[in-house]
Amino acid sequence: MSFRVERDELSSPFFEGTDGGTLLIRRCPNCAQAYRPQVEGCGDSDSLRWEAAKGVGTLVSWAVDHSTPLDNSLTSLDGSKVIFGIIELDEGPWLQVPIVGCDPSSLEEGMEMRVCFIRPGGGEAIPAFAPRHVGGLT
Amino acid sequence: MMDGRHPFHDVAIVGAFNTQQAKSLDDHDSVTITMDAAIGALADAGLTFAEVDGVVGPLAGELIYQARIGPAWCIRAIGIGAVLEAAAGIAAGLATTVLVADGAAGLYTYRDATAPWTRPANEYTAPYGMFTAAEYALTARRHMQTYGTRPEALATVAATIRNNGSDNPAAVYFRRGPFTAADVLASRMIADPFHLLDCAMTSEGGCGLVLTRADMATDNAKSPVFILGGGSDRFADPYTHPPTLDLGGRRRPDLTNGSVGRRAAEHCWKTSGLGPTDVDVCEFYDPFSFEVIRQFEAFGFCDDGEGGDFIMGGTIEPSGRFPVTTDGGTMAFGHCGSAQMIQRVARGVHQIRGECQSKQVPDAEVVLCTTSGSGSCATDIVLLGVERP
Repeated sequence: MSFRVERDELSSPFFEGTDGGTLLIRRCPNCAQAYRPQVEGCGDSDSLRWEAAKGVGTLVSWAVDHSTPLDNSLTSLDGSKVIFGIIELDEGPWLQVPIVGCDPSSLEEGMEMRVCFIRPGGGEAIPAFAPRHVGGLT
Repeated sequence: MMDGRHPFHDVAIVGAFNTQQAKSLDDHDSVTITMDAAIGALADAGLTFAEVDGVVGPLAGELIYQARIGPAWCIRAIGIGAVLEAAAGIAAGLATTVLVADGAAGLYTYRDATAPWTRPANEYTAPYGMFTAAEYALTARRHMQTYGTRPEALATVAATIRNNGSDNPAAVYFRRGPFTAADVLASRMIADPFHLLDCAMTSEGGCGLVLTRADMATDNAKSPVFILGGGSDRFADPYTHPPTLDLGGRRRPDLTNGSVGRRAAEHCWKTSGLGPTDVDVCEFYDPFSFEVIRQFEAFGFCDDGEGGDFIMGGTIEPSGRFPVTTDGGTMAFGHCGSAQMIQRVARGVHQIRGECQSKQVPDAEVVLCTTSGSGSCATDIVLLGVERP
C-alpha cells in the first residue's frame, strides 16, 4: 500500500505552496487566530486566509512506527523507520507531520525543528520537519 | 444532585449480553451477529421482541425490519452515546423498552496490516501512513515527556487487563496469560512507545443491552441496574483530524483533548452526587495502555501527571481499590467494531449483578463505564449503580 497525494479544489492552494517550498497555514481575518491548513472556517469567518508560515517550530511529541515504511522518502536516517511528530509552529498551530533527517533516539521535546518537503509516491509535496541543525534538505 | 428528581429516575437496565467473541465469526455478518446480541439481551431481561418499542444502534433500522418490531422509535448512535440516548428516550417518554445492540462480523478479511479503517483518510495525514496506534502513541509520549510517566506504568495497565482476559472463559484471548509488565515491555515495538501488548487486538462479535422504565423492571428475572449519571465529550470526528493535544474550544479554554472526558465526568459527578472515591469498579475503554492512565486523570481520580504512579502498586488489580476493565477489554476480551463500545456497560451490569464468571468484584455497587477514541478526540461515560437514583 502506498499513497500518492493529489490536490483537490480545497487543498490546491496548500499544495501550490508546498510545490514552491512554502508551508501555508490559515488565519481568520476577523478573530486573527492562526489555524492548521486543513481548517476551513472558524465560526468567526468562513473564509480563512492562507498565510505563509516561517516553517520553524519546536518538537512537542513523536511516535516511531515500526511497520514497513509506505515510502522511502519518509524514513529516518537509518532508512528503516517512519517517525510521526507533532510540531508547534512559531505562529501557534500544532501540526502532525513526518519527522525526517534524524535518528529517533536523537529527538527531544522542545527541540528546534524546521520544515522541508518530501514527495511520497512522487505525488504532491508534503511538509516534513527535521531538526534545525540538519542541512541538505529541501 | 439536581433539583427535583434524578433525570434517570425512571430508567433501568434489565438486560446485558455478549455473543460469542472470536478473531473471526465465519458464519455471521454484522447484521446476524447483532440479531444474536439482541435476542440474547432480551432473553437475559426475560422479555421478547413484542415488548420492544425502541431500538438504538448503528444497525437499528435493519434490526427493526428483520425482527418485525416496526413501527418503533429508532436512533442511529453507537457506544455509550447509544446507551445515554436510550436512557434519555425512556426518561422523556419517547419509548418504553429500548434495545441497544451492535455487532461486527465478516469484516476481518484483510489481515496483512493494521485494520484499514484506523488509517485517517485525508490528504494531510494519509500520505505518511498515520495509523491509530501512532496517534495514541503521540499522546502517551507527550505525557511521558511532560510528567516523567514510565513505560512500566503503561505496561502494568496492559498486563493487568490482559490477565483479566486470560482468566475469562468468554474472552478471545482466554488462557493466553499470565502476563507481567516485563512481558509487555519485551513484546515487539509497534509505534514507540507502544509495544504490541500495549495495543488492542481486533476480533468479531456482538453485544446487546435492554433498557426499560424502572417501574416496569420489578418483574424481571434479574435485578435492575440503574444509571446514576453520564456524559459525552467530543473534540472532532474520529480519525479525521490529527489528535494534536492542544485542541481546545472557545467556551472552556482550560479543557483540551488531552483531558477529553473531564467535562463529561464533571457532569456525571454532579448528576450522581458521587465522586471517584465512590466508584467500586472502573470498566474503562482500553484501546491502548496509556489511555487508561489518561482517563484516571481526566475523570479526577488523581491529579494531572499522577496517573502513572496512581495505577501502580496494585490499585487497578481485581483485588485493588479501582479494578479496571475486568473482562479483559479490547486487549483480550474482544474488539468487535463499534459493539465493543457498549461491552464495557454490559460488563458493568454483570459486575453489579454479581454474576461475572471471572474477576467478580465483591459487592460492586457503583461502576464507571467508558468509551473513548480517535487518539483522545472523544470520551463517553456512564455511571451504573445498584440503587435507583
